Amino acid sequence: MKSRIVGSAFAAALIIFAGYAALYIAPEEATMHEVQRIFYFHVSAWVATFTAFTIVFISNIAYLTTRGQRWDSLGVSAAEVGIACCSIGLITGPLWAKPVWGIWWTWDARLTTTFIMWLMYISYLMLRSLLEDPRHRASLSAVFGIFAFLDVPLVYMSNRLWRTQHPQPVFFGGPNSGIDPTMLKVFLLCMAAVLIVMIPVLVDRYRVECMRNEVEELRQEIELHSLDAQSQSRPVKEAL
Amino acid sequence: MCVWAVFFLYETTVARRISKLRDELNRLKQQLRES
Repeated sequence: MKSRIVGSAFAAALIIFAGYAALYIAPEEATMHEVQRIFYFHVSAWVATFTAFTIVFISNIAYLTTRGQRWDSLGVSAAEVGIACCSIGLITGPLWAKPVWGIWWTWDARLTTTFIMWLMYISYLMLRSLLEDPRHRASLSAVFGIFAFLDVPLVYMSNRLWRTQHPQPVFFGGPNSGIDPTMLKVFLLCMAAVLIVMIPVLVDRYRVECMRNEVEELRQEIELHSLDAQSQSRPVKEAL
Repeated sequence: MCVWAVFFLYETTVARRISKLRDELNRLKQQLRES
């Protein structure tokens, strides 16, 4: 409990400092001015999304090779957290686009593949809710999760492969890419803050899945007990 | 702000689910002990 309070206080301090750094320490961008400051959390949210979906992909492969229940639990937990981070990116993106592009949304390659990725992982969760048998559910969703991950590198590469309304890559985008060193430091701080907040959320979500499995096992055990009790009492009744 | 709002709302739903499942686990353990 004490470590949880310390952890929460540290996360809160980091969130406040990251917000302060993004608003006051980072220099103003020359063409977009104040609105560009959304970049620090918009890109960080996408880093967290890609991290979460990579965990889903690794868990899905690990489940199909080992059939370990914990991999399935980790997969679904990371998918849900990834959708939350992806939603943050999809909210902050249009908030940034409207004052800069004059429109909230456009169906260019980057935005379309991103929207498809969001829908794919929502479908992953919906598919799981439709299947009752736990093994069948885990296997089928693992296969679907691997298929859904195909879109993740496509999202990353989309503004390198096609001409898009979305800006060209700021990082690893060739000789003309890159940002001011102070902006980079602030960005790394904001990214660390988002990832540090994401990890305990993922751990908590994983706990939910483990407890859910435990509830399922206990229910089965109780059912077996009651069946045993019924079969033991039947011969006595028949003898009477 | 909306970044942290989404995280906070999501974490609230997770915490609520943990609390419900903990209650359910205790109830089932009690039921198993009684049977």
